Amino acid sequence: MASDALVTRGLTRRFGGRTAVSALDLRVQEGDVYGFLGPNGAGKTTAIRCMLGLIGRDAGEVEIFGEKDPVRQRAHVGAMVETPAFHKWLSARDNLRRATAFAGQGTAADIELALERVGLQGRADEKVQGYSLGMKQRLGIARALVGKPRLLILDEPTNGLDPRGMREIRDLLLELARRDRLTIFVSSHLLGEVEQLCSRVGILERGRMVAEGTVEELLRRSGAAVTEVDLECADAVALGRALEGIAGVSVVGDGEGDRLRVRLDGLSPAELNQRLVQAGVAVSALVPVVKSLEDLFLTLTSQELT
Amino acid sequence: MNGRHLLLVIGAEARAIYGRASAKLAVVVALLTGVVVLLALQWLQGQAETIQANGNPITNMVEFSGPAAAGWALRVRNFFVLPLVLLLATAASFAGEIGDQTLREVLVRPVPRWWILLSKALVLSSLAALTLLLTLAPALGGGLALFGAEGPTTTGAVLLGYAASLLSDVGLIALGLLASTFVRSVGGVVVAMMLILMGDMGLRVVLKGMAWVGAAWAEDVGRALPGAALACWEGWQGEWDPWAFAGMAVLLLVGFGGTLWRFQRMDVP
Repeated sequence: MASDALVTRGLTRRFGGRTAVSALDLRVQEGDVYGFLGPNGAGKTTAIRCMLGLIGRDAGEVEIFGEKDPVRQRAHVGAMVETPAFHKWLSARDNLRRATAFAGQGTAADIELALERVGLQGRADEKVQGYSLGMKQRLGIARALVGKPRLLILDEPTNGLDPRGMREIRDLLLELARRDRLTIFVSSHLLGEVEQLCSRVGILERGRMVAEGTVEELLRRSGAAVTEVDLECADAVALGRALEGIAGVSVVGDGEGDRLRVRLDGLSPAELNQRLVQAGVAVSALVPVVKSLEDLFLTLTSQELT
Repeated sequence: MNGRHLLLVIGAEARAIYGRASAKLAVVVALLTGVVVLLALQWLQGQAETIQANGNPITNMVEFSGPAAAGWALRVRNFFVLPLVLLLATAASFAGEIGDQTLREVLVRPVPRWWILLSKALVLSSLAALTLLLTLAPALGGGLALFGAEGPTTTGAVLLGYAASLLSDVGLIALGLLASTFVRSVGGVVVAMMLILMGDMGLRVVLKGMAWVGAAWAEDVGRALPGAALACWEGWQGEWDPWAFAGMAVLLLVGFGGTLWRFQRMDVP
């Protein structure tokens, strides 16, 4: 059984009268790629800052690989919080050297490997002040990788990247998780990305954890798994009549040509198909409408996506 | 976390602080001060016939010797510009790093906060010492070569003045670091410190006035204020003031102790 990489219990942080993070309990197991989701202002970055000891906490505790001492905890962690900041008058390589010095471990070879992984080895001797936002983001990930971390904590790591860059970073994180067995805790509001990347997710809303588990678990638990299907049938009248006779099926909208969307209540798509065949309706296509993490997210957070 | 790790952190901090424009400016200004003062004295020595005061040639009023040149260089160095540049370097290394969020990037590493503060204080103090050496070396070395060592000013006295100046610079660094925990921008720290030191100067004038009209205690209080403590180096020219050093001890304690206390509890964005 995998051990716990990161655990928070009752983590709470207030700013004046506003509670930014409220009694946050979360558990990230070793080897997880954990997606920390929430709309803007939900408290993701505040929670991450509390975990890393950048800001104090009003209550609760944080454990990283069983370690409670904040300084010792950070020996296991590589982190990137929001937009990474650098000494702009130093080169990328010198900024990474600085990071290894503060990490207390890491060699020149580790620096080169980190630069290579984010595709910056060709421009590592340039001063960071000439870097684009995307390059800084990559360098921030490279910096998080030096110092031999076991846990990567990344806050919006694909911010400022173009689609190709986003995909490269996603592939890199997957590779780090699979090949290097790193545990990754990544906050994002790019749900499609999280869905492709993460084995487990936690959804934060107004500082509270409203759901935690694998994507499939959450969809199943919320009842958001396949509940609608699109039917295609040349004889729309016969189809409509047959559907009226099947319990647990309701038509969604008016339909489009020979297509009709129905909602299932306690009935699986296979059972619906069987009933329609029994009713003598020739259905040319039956396509389950798979609900996404985005639908679940919207349901749980009751907010517009940002 | 061990001694080697701490040395790595100090080394990294040194590369960052010495790489900043403010540190480079401090080095250049310090070197120029020593060289310019030496050249000015040499020029003045050649003007014995043309520059006179009350019929006396200037050479009778100004001491020309290596130690005297070093003493003049120290006075010029400590007059406003170099302390200001050192304050800029201090503010840039702490308030500046809080403001541009580079401090956050080292706080996520396995180092206690006091290590970061210690490494900054040590490196900034080394910068202050370097600037003193860069002023002293050309002024004293060149002065000894050009004018010799003869004169009322002794090398020992002027060297003590340089040593006390280092103490004074460290006091300024301590205040600058403390101010950085309140005002998280370089400009803000410099302005705040100027206002504090101007207020301190005004208060000392008032206390001096009170002493003049009979309140003897007022002068003693004035001698222990931060501004007087920062001027403790001036004792090399005559008499060392123990009150100024007592004030400096308090200033260092409050400066570094206060910075550490606040930094340990600070939220860093």
